Parts: sequence; structure tokens; C-alpha cells
Amino acid sequence: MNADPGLGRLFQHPDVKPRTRILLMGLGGAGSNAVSNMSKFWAEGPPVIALNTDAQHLAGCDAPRVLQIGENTTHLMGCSGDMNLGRQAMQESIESIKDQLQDVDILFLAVGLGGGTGGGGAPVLLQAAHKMHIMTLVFVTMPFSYESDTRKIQAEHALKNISQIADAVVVLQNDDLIELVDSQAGIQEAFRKSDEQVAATIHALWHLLSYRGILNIDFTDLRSLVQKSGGICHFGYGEGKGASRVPSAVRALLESPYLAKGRAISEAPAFMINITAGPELTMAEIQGIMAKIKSSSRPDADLFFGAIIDPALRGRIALTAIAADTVSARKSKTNEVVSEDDAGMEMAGVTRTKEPQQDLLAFAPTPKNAFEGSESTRFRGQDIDMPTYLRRGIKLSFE
Amino acid sequence: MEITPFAAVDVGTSRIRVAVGIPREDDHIQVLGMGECISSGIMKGEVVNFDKALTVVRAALEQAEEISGASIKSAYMALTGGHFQTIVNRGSIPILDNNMEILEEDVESVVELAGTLNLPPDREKVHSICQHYFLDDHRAVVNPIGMEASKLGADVMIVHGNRSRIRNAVRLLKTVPLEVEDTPVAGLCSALAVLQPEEKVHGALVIDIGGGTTDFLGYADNTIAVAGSLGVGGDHITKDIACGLRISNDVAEALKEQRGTAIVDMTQRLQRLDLPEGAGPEGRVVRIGDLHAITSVRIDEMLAMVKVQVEKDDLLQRFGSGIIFTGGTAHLPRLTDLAEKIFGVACRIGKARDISGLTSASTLPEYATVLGLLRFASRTSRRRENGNGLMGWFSRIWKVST
Repeated sequence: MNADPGLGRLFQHPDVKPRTRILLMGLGGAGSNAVSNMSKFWAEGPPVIALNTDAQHLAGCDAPRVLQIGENTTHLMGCSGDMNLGRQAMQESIESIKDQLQDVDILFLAVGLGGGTGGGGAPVLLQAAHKMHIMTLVFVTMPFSYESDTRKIQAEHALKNISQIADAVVVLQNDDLIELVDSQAGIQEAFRKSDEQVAATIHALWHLLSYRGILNIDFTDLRSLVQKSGGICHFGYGEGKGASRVPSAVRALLESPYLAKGRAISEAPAFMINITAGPELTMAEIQGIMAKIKSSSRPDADLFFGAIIDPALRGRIALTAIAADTVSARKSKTNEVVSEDDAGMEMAGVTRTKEPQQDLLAFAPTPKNAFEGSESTRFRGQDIDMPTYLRRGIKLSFE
Repeated sequence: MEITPFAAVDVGTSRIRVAVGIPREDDHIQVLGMGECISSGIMKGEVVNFDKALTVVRAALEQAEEISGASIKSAYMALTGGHFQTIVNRGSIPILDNNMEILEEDVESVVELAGTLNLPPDREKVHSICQHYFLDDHRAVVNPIGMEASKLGADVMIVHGNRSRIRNAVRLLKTVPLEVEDTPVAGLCSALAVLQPEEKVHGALVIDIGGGTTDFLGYADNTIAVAGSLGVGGDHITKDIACGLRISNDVAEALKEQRGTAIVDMTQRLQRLDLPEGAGPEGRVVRIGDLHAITSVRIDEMLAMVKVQVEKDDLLQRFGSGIIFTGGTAHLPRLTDLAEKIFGVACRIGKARDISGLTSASTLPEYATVLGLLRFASRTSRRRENGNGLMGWFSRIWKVST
């Protein structure tokens, strides 16, 4: 284990005891780069750990903490795109990772798919986290369309595996990156911009869940959103400053490339918006933002709003959004199980934990008969007499 | 003159309660006695086993008679169940008087007209509640008598339920035997128990979450704007816990009462939940997080179901006095915190107002229905004495045939 306390960059916990303990991990080359970019974005935020099989890459990574994985499997050389190696490397080091996960409530994992360490290791890591009752939210980046077919196929496989274990997956297409920056800017600039936006989202969630915002979102809200999403979420970011900061921030958010130019908001069955602004933020501005967002969303959508004050943002408003994916939400609603790729699962070496509802019912002592003799209560097509936690797919710890 | 005490019977899913009381001046009720027994044969507010339910009603009645010293021959009964529905019907009549002045008869006939609706043969009307009057099709007034118009309209909310289920409930009391005076819906009773007159003016929603049903009734501008009953209640929470943790209903009920919550407590999430010996499979660690997850998502869903029913016409914004919870499930910790998040208005636990003689019961939310039913009884009988006046917000049209 190569945790690097010598550099003295261990994250310093604030004095107040957080309500929810959050950890941000970056896995593989892209994931480590992303989290080290993110950790530079905030002055105070969740603890960050970068994980990789490639020792050289880790050496150059300036994340607050780094952890070498799979020393005996890959001999510090990385996986060269082999997902099997990535999985084995993670299995080798899983105990030391579990140590890092002690007392964590929510794990944010950033991972780039297409390669070996991220795609192969993430399912193993997520499975371990799940067993420790940790809620997992994964930000995955998908390869550019001009990359090789092998990488794209690997990425799709890995995404499928991850989405079946993680509580929620936010998918970022690298192809959307070009829209984030000027056509003149280099790709590193685009990555940095993207990391900054994801960092803003993670930082807002960290702040809201750990401490208190002026408008609060808590763990239950996040879980509720995640459940309604059916596992796949979109993410977006918008910023505005000056006198017209409210309309320009909302416009920027709705035009965010990751939100499919606002379509992901207008069609989402549920989404969460956080407002981060300087101390001059007024109630009227909050209401203005809410009204604008509401008017561009579905009337029946579930909205969760949070708002926090960040003195660093004086004069500016930043909006971050996490929106449930329409397609996957519909799938989860109708209990359709996303078609399984058993070969892919075996490859990842994990067992599926998101059981289809029918399987869960087989264990349960026939809940349908609990109200036998009375007419079943139905609401919006659901049998309300069935336990809510089963219908919402909540996993109990001992199952 | 001796005042005859009224009896109120609340056949609830978890408890059957009989209250005996006499009306005092200023809407005050003095409770003389109360009988309360654990229900049997009732599910989701409806009679599913007549004989069992009858035994319990008789036992509760006996208790109430013994404590109050009154001999009960007739009673009021609160109705509940997911089969109740409301419909708002508008009726209008031309004002034929040359001066176009609206007379009391005009008001009576327009309310009767609007309250007359051809319901399917399996439905029975329980209340006709006049909401608004219209003068020449314009949104108008509380009391149109003496005003001028060529046309008088009225919106009347009709509360109706499944005929055979209403009759089954009434038959339960008749078999006791008791004469049934009237049968208002439980939501109205709970609202009568807890709402101050000014809260009705400012607007308020009363949600009574009992064992088997959730009854709600909302006032806006001193008018009943929404009412309903859902076949879901605290029993669903208990049975979800029993199913999820694989324990018996009794153990689940105790866990719900001791450790249940409407909002997950992150600090206790991983704590081990101690189950009584022999409860559930051995060697299994159940965490408090699981119990919290099961209870919180169920209550979240119940409140969301109510919200769907009350959010039309921007009603939520008109509940200036907020939401008041009654019923046994109102004891669930952090219920009002969750409700404030869901509804976005101030929420509190209700306490029956202007009740004496039974101070301990009047402060508990689960007694709201039976105490409100006593208030309903006192108002109804006062109105009968004063001749069938139309003013007041629940003009009683439906009467149980005797």
C-alpha cells in the first residue's frame, strides 16, 4: 500500500462533525486525473483518493492521496486496456481499499471507461462498497467516438456492469466535451473544464449532505432521485454573473451539452438542482431560478432544490443539476430488467445485486396477502398494498 | 332542561372508540366517557368480519356507558375507506322575482339542484357541501340572500361512497342495536376537532393517518375545498416492516412505535437493531438503517399520494394555516419535518380544541376523529332544533334510513 502521508497532503476535516461522510475516489488514469483536477477546484471539500495500477501515472498525479493497486498483478505497470487485469488488480488490493471505506456513507467514484483499470476494477470496488452499506454514485466518462471499437465495446460492457451495482451512474460522453470550450482550446483544457463542472456538482452535494445549505437536500432526497432514475443520471452545469446572473445561469444550465441541450431536464421524471452563490444571494433569486427551471420541466417531475452560500462565488451564481434519465427511469418503473450480459458480468467477476423485483418477492413472505380480504389499494397503476421499499427497489443490508 | 348526551362511534382499523359527550356553549364539548378497544374484523376502515367487529363495538360501547353513566340508544358514526370520492357539481337557477332579489328559497333550491346528481346505483351520497355561490356566472359570495342577480349558481361538493360498504358499516351499529343518527366522513370529523374557525378562513389541510386509511379534508376561504380517503395507513408501515425484516406483525408494530421515523437518521444508520429473542431468522444482523428506510419510504409515498389529491388549483398555496396531522400515525417521529419538505407549507400535529372532561385523550391526535364526531353531533342537532337552516358548511341531505 503506497498511501502517501509523507507529502502531508492529508485532507483536513473541518471542526463540525459532518452529517453524512463522503469520500471521492478516482480510479484508473482518467479517474485519477479527474479527481486531482477536482481537488484543486475547492478549498475545502470531501477527502479525495486516486487509485491506479500504473505507478508512473500515480507518481505524477497530484491528488491529495494516492493508492497503488494490484502491485502483484500488474507489477506497477498498468493494465494496458485489459479489463480482466483491472479486475484482478482490484481484487488483490480490495482489503486496503475497504480500510479507506470505513465509516463512509456515500462514495463518489470517478472513472473513465474504455481502459482496463477503471472498467475492470470499478465493479469490484462498488460491490465491496455496497456490502459495506455505502451508497455509490459513479461519474463515468465514455470514450470519444473516434477511439477504437475495442475501447468503445469495453466501455459499454463496463458501463453495464457498473450500472447494475452502483446506486446511480452519471454518464458523461467525451464527445460532448468539445462543446464545453472554444474550438481553439486544446483537449486538456476541455478535460479541465469538464472536471471543474463535475467538481462543482460533487462539491455542492458534499456541502449539502455534510452540513447544511439554506435550502437543504439530504440523503433521503438523493436516494429518492436515484431510485426514480432507474440507475442512470445526467448532469449539467451553468454559471452566470452580473445583473442578469439568474437568467444567464439558467440558460447556461439548460444549454449544457451533458444535458442534451436541456432535453434531459425537460423530459426527466426527477432531478436535483443546486444553487451555489455568493452571500448576496436573495430569496427572490432562488425563487426566480426555481420558477424558470420548473417551467422548463415536466409538470409531474419530482424536483429537489438545494442552495448553499459560498463566499468564493461573490457576484456569481452556479447551478448544478443531476437529472434522472428518462429511458432508464421508465425501465425501472415498468420493472423491465435491463437485458443482462452474463458474459460481461462473469468477465467483471461480480454478482449482480440489483435483483429484479420478482426475485425479491420470492424471498419475501408473500406481502400481497398482507391485506387479504380487502380491496387492494391502487394508485397510478401500482398496488399500494405491496411494500413501498420493494416497489422502489430499496436494498436492505442483510439481503 | 336536561341535555341529552351524544354518542360518537369511530370504527377504526386499529381501535374502535366510543365517546359520550354533551355540548356546552361556544362549540365546547364536555366528554363524559370514552370506550376504546383494539379492533378486530376491520381492514382499511372497512368491515371484513362482521361478527368480530360487532363484539368489539359492543365492548367499547359498554366501557363508554359504564364510565359516562349514560345509556346509549343512538349514535353518530364516522365513515372511512378508500372507496369514498368527491365530485363538484354546479347548478344554477333563474331568479324570477321582479326585483331579482335572491331569497332564502332560491338558495335552498339551487343547493338542492346542484346537490342532485345521478350517481351509479352502487354509489351512495354522504354529504352535499356547498362551496360557493355565483351571481350571474361571476365568482361570488358566501351569502347571496338579499343580493340581486338574474341567475344564481352554486358549486356543491358531493361526497359519495360504495353503497354496500356504507350499509355494512351502518348495519354494524344497527345490530348492536343502536339507532344511527348520521354518518359523516372521518376526514370532516378530524377537521372539526382540531381546526379553529380562523384557520378555516386562512385555509388548512387536515390529514388523519389512521391504521388502515388516510383521510384528508382541506379548507380554503372558509369552504371545504378538497376531501378524500385513501386505503393506506399505519398498518402498511407495520406490514412493510414485518415483510422486510421477516418478523411478526406484533414485533413490527412495536418496532415501528419505538424506532420508526419519517426521515432516515444517518447517525444511527449502521447501528444494530435488537430484535426480541426468537423474532426473525437467527444469526442475522438487522440495521436501524433498514427499519428507517422501510418506514420512511412508505410514509413518503403516503404523503405524496395525498399531495397528488390536493395540489390541483394551486390549493396548497391557499392553506395559509398549514397542514395539521391527526390519527395514530401522527406519532411517527419527524413526520412533520418530512411533510414540510413534501408539501412546502408549515405542518404540525393536531390537538382537539375546546374539549373538557377528558384532557389526556383530547391532546392525542388519534382521538381527533371521535371527538370531532361529537362536535359534528352537537352542531347537527342544534341545526335540527333551529329548523333546517341552510347556513353552515355541511348541509346534511343524506340521512340513514331507519
